[in-house]
Amino acid sequence: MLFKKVLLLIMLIWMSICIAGCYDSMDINSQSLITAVALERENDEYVFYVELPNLMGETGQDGSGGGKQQYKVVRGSGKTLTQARQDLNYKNDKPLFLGTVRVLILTQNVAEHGIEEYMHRMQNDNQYRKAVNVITTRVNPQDLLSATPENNVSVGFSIEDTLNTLENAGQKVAHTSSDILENLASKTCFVLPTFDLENAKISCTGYTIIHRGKYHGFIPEDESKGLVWLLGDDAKWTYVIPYKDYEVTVEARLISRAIKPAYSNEKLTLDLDFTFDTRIMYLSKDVGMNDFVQEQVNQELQNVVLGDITDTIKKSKQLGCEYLGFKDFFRISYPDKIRHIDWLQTYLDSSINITVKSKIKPGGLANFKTYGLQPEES
Amino acid sequence: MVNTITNRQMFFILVLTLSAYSIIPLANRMAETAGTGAWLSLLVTSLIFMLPLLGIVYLNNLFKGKTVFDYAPKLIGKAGTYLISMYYVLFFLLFLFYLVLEVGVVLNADFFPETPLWIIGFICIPVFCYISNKGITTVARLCEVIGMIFIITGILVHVLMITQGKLNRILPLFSSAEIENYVRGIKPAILPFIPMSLLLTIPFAKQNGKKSTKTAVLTILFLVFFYVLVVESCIMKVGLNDIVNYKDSLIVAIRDTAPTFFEFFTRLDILYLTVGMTGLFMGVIVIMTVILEFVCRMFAQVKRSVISIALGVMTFSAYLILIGISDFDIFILDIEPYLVFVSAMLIPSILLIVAKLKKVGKQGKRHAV
Repeated sequence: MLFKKVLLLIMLIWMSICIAGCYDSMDINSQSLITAVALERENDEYVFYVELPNLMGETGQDGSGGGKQQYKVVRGSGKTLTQARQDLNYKNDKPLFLGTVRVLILTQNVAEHGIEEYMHRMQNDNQYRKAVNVITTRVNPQDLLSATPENNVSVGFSIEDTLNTLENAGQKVAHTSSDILENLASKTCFVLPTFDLENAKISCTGYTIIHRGKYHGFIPEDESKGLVWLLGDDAKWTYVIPYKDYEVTVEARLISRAIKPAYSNEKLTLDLDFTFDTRIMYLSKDVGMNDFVQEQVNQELQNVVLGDITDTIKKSKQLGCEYLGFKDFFRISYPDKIRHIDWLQTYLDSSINITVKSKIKPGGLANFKTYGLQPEES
Repeated sequence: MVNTITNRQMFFILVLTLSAYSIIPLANRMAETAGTGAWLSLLVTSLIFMLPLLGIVYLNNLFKGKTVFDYAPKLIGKAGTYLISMYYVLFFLLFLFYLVLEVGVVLNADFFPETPLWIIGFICIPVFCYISNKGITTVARLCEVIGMIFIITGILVHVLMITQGKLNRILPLFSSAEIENYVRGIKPAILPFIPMSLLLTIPFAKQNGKKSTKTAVLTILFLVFFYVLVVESCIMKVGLNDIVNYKDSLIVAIRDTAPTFFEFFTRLDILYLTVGMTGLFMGVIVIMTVILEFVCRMFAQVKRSVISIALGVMTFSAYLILIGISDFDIFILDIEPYLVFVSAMLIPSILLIVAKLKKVGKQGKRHAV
């Protein structure tokens, strides 16, 4: 009986020790939750800009409670990343928490200097989510983080939402920090989405090419359709195809993408096969479309898509950088060869055959076969 | 019959003990050696280990209601029995120290970076001791409950990881030019099979019967499916080149996964912290119970609770010492093939051969009738 009482006492003491683990618990308001981190390089120094929500309910200087005042931008700089972070710590009264970061913004200056060091720092930081989106910017991060997003008060959340929306629409290639670390480890060239300011609004303006951990070039958004056809999941674009005196707006959706490398006599040949489903959305004039016209539009669409893909590959070869994911397909087909060849040179010397097939699918609101059909085309 | 387990409990004990910790660094070690052919190395290793497991199950069925310590004297004499028991105690102690240290390191590195390592051991080890002191039947029942949750959650998490991962990263599944690497992958693939010989200390009941053989085969088949699922999903998520940088590759891969279609599932690491860690704790508890079973039989005059406390003190002391030794895990991984060869293959084979030579099986059947 005494033994049981002693045991109970020990258990109670034990439980109290365990429960006491909560003694240093912190309220969520006592941490600075970062929603966006921007890294800049200015005057040979690293500069951190962090976007912090104002959880204490403070208002702006004008006394207003809503809007941008809910988020603050804090700057910290230093010769090294550690010093820059230390400077940031000096400027915050509460400990910074990186687990809530929605987007990491790397400026073009940082990209030119090299992103590897920061990515490795991130790799070993337990607070950082590996699923955080990474983008680049060509504008001052202070300006970018101070911009007013359309539907969101936080720039970090806004950029993440924009990326998700565009990715779900099949119109964007985005990378998380984990993807970037894998690309850096496998010495693979890759692209990062670029967000700049256009008329004081945050806008996705294209892609930054990263080669060997450094900036290598820029692809404007209007030249990026081919890139999404080559790299994107469930890629989908809308094209306006001119036909006679009117225009046909069609939506092309990628159904399959087959990339087959063939390597013989130290010469690489890449066969790219794309299959699309196409849906006619609307016409610029009140005319109809029979099978013949639809086929003409379809042929034209195939040419346009082929042109987009060809231009993207040409640009990649001009820049001397393979960021189109072909290396992966070559590795899968020739796992023993990839270790012994100069991949970049092999790619630059390669010949590429592209086949684009598309099929017009029925759909849309109007029945184009019967609606307003012109006599000469029927 | 006391202290026996059902076939279902055997399944969950093996799954929890063999997979609980080993799956955390498995993808890292397999990617380093076997690359995209990790599945093949795992499959071959599991087939290799299926034979000794069947041998152990056969021995347990031959000597129903007895552990290796009880029936070995009939086969190899008392001195031989003490010798192999000493070996098993030392083998499982070494593995226990390794597991407890890794539990502390994983919790500290990935979830509680501010908590001192010694505190984790100080809180965990008494709990492990208390549960293992209850005996194998209680532990087996607990394994049944926790094992079910562990398996369902584990499969769900890894399927979610696959949906978020990139298929290209695990291709090519086979390349004849990589066979040398696949063979090299067998060594790290042994890690999940280290404690397999624990079944020698768990007595079977009459009810286990021939179904136990079927259960053993199914357990190994399930484990190889689960290991392949874990390794492939981690590589699909993190990538073959980057995963080699993370010792706790599973946790890194889970943290990298944020399925947006399940709002309440976006933080899979928290799910793993609860369910995965519970499975890991059960694995440690089973090993501790196995050691207790051996030692209690070797020192029958000493109370089980006293041995439990002594084991706890010894484990905590070893834990404190090993915290300061950085290469202990590498040492364990270096010697594991030899230890496993002796514990899971050599000793059971000797016992089986002697049992066959002495025609114990036939006697056993007569006794059963």
